[in-house]
Amino acid sequence: MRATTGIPMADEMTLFAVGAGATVTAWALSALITRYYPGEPALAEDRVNYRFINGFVDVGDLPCRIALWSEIETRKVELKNDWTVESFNLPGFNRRLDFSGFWHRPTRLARWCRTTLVPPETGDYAFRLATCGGVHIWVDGVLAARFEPFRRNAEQQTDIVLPLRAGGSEIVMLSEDLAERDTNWYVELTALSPVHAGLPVPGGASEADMATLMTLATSVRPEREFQTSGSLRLVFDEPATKHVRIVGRVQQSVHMRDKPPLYSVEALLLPGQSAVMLEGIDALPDGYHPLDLTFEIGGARVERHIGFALLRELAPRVRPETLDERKAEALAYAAAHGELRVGRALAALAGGQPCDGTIEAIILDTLAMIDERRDCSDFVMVPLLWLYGANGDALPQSLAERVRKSILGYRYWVDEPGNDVMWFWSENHVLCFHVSQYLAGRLLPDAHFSASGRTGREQMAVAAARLDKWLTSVESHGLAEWNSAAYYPIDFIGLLALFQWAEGNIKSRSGKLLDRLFTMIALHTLGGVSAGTQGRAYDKELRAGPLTELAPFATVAFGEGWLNDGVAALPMFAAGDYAPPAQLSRHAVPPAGKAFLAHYVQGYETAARLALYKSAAVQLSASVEGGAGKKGHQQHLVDVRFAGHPFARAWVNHPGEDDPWGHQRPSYWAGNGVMPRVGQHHDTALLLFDLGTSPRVDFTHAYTPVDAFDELRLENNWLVLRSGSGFAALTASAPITPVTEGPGARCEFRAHGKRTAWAVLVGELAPRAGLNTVFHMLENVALTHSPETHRAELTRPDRPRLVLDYIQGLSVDGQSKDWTQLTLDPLVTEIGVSPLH
Amino acid sequence: MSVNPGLIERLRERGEAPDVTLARTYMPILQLDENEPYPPLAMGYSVFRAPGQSPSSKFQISPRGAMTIEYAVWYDWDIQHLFDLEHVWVHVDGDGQVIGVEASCHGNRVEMIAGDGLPQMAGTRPMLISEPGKHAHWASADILRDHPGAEVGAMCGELAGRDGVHLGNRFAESGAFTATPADHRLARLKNRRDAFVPSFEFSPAADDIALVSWPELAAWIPARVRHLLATLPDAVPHIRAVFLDCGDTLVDEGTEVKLPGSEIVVAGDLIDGARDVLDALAARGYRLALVADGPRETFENLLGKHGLWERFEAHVISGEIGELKPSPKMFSSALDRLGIDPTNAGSTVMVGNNLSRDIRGANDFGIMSVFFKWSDRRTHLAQNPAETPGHTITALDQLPPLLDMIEQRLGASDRGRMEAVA
Repeated sequence: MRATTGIPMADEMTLFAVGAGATVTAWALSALITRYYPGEPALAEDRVNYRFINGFVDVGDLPCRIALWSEIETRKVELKNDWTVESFNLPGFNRRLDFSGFWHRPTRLARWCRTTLVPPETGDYAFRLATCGGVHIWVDGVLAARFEPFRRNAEQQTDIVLPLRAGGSEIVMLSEDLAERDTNWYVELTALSPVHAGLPVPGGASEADMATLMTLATSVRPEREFQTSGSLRLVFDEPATKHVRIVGRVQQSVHMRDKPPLYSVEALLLPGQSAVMLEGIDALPDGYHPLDLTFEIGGARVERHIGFALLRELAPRVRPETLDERKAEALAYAAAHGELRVGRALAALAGGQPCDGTIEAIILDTLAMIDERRDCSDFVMVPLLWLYGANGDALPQSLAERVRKSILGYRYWVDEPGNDVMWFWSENHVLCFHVSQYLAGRLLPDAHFSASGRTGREQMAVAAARLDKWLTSVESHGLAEWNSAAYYPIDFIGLLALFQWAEGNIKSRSGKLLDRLFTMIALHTLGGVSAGTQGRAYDKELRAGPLTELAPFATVAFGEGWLNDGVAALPMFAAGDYAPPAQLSRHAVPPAGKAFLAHYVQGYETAARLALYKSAAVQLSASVEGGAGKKGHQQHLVDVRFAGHPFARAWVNHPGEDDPWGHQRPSYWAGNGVMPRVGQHHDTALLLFDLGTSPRVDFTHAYTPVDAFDELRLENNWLVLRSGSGFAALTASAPITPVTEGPGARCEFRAHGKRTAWAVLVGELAPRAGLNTVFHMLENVALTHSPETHRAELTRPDRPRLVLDYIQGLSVDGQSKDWTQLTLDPLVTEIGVSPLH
Repeated sequence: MSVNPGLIERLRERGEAPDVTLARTYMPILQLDENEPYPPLAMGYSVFRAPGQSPSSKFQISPRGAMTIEYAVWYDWDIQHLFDLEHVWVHVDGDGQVIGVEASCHGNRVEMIAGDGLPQMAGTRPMLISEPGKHAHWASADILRDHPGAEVGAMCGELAGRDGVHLGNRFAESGAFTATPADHRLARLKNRRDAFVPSFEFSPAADDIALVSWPELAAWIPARVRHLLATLPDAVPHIRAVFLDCGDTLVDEGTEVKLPGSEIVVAGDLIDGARDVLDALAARGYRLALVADGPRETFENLLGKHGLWERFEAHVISGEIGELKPSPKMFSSALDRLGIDPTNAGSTVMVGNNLSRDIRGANDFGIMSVFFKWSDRRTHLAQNPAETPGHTITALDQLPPLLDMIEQRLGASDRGRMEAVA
């Protein structure tokens, strides 16, 4: 034994081959080490120019990062070997060692990692190291690499050389990052020549057990795309070979991570079994829930983070006839079933309930978030101010006084000193901060606000001027976060509060913007589910059907759909005076036999050009042109939604990361690694992907959850879906292949290739028509694609010839399909629909 | 008759310089993508028999054998800018054997190796891959294709023309040539017209590349760039001028204050984005004319107070012309004052808020019309086809990207004519 360094002998290790160009992902991990790290309070430069590009303005460096860079210049990091292995990271689902997440306060993050690298012979071996944070690597106890870019969420690379011994060298790595809210914290260590990575097999486990854990973690997924009740059945590609202890937890939503889990369960996967039941999800509310899993055999443990949707009623209830009645219903629902956030307290008090212990606890939690200036506290400050203004009398005096104190102590903008990581720089946060400042000043005009030193009256005047800029910007440019199921509700927080509490011009302008938002929502909601292309998308909304914060707004406004426990802004809609234009219901629920075509632009300098085709059964929505070949962010570009089922939805994208359950921006399903060229003409969309010469992920894919469709069949390279009387047909220039294993089973179809064309057609079927009718029609439809010119052509009898050219864009029967009408207000036209017979 | 020194023929006419036979012996053969729009035109060589500073690049040259021959390779264009100078260094031993080849690759000097320490050779001449559009050198097509992070397709497509005229070189930095905002815009426009999808199939460039000594090439390059810039306006169909209305196009009429008892406006607020859009148009080098109805004092007051009067090269004002839009006189005056022939009216744009004046007038005159649908003070409904705008915007930030799109389509008859969506 090599007693001095504690290197295990090779025969005690599980060895994983790491070929040239592959990454080292077998690591034993310490617990996560976190430390509050605010830096010195400072005034931030006010860089907000109200020109939101991709939803943001330029940010600059926060006090915590300046403090970190200063510390790094002088610090010396000592090797630590006395830490306990908490879990293992095993090869399989991610080429990175990835700990990405979301922290609400400035937080230093660290994790010790250990592996053994076994080269073919003793010598120096080259690796490529990539991280956004900092990495130290010791080889056999000697520091061999130090790389500390600490560039927030921006990957940096360097090439390093590690001196490795033939029998195996112990590698200890310290991975660090600094969290300012969403944090891409990972290390990618790529071997430039083949080695093996070895992990010590912990007590009570064997090498085979490590392989079992690896397979389980890689392949785990819920058996169905959505759950309706009872238990959650998880399935795996291969049966377990031993007893595997499984622990599952559902944490609180991202804004309440400091609370105990909502759900915690233990289960045992028995030898020979490839599925396990997690009992008791009845305890959870309807929602799209993140599920943290731990798999354990003996002392060996791996973690995996997945998600699942829980919706008890797949058909929506009949909603009351009038808007006022629906508002009352939503308010009562939020008061009774809402998430334990300030919106629930607002709903309860607005509904006339007294301030009970639940409400008091919610308010105290909200005040803690505000007092600590956690990121996103502006989102709860606005409803708190509403509650304080409307129902402050209902609060016990001591609690009301605490609320007042928190209001006066808050930091409302970057010109007030602070060392938090509150995010002031995105379209939605800018609004909520300004509205907070405005309302706070309005409610407490004579009070002294400690961070700014201003009176409330002065705060309100400053905020009114800032709101004028925000409103002017959004009135002129539209929203960079177009159609976003995550961010429209946040815009509602600010705009509904202004409509309710502001006066004159600010009130009327807010009302007009609310009308515009509801117009876009009406157009993109089908069957009670808000869908369509989005400026910024996440898996937790794309795969959530009606379980988003946004969907209930459509339910209340247009009378069809579900309610859920989301209370970010809905209680303000339900309790407030704002009413969307009545005629929008027609856009939300198209009449039979008709389809709407809509075109409009959104975002600074027309960042997005949006096209929509929508009938009673199916809608196709796309953001066309712009950015082809560039690295994508969270833009969700082509989306199909069916009225027949709450989860019947489909889209095509290029994965932005390896892990199907990952949370990067872009992720595997949300956004695009490389942006495609997109064109849409009526009921047909074309996409052209050019992934570059050596893409990280060399395929594009379609998301089509089998469970949500009445029929789904892949034949002659057409993937055809039917839900109710709506159908979609997807084809690609490369063979479409179903994913049969792992998280993609039953929902993912891939087309491999660096230059690929996709076509998406939607339509309606006559009664008794089915997939055969669609396939019969498709016999005469042809997609041709030339990778050399990267031009796709779609021909269909009695339809115009569509050509999408990667450089020139879309042409229809030879005429360029340019956008000559650049209007933020959708141009809506109506055409007849002829169902397929 | 004057001789244009920027023509390639002028370079070919140069006499044989010392070492030209040597340079021809080892002259690299560049392999171009089959869809490459920009072939190399000339090479300027320098022979190093002792260490020294490269005369044409930032690198020090240390001969590995008896000598190193430096080839500075001139392309008129990179897909992202006008001006492209690449380099190849061939190391030769005392027996005349090539013992190493280095070449430029995105600002770096990179060893070209495709086996046995050398790239593929055609006798004494190295064969190198010229990256599509960018002309960085690669030892083989496979190495280029496998290189991680190479966004070749994006650079040749969406990112084409990003830089305009390249000024980060010794010639521009020493003042040998310069570029106006309009030069940059037209260079970008040409690049974008030339955007292409690389085939990643390569074949040797035509063997008619002018081979001259570096001093000869260096003397020619500034003339060449000036020649290219001078020919751009005729070579690239473009928007020759943008005419802008004032009231409810740049200035919010709702805020206008009139001199009591007169029609003269003394003050008014700019519409959000008005300054930004004029800045953006100026940065792109568009020629601007104010074409507005009213007394001259009104516009001097309104635009002058905001410091925007001077942004316009011409001020065509009905109070002076004697007729209101849609009178053709207003538009013919605008063209005349900018020196634009009326036959080129179709490559100018009128932006205004009034369908019956701005849009009708422009349409009747054959000028492209852009309706700024912003205020409700005038109707948004065209009363007849002549009032139907060619394009509509609802915010001023939409104008620069719209002009970009219009400009890209100009003269591209094979790409079809404009068609309204919806």
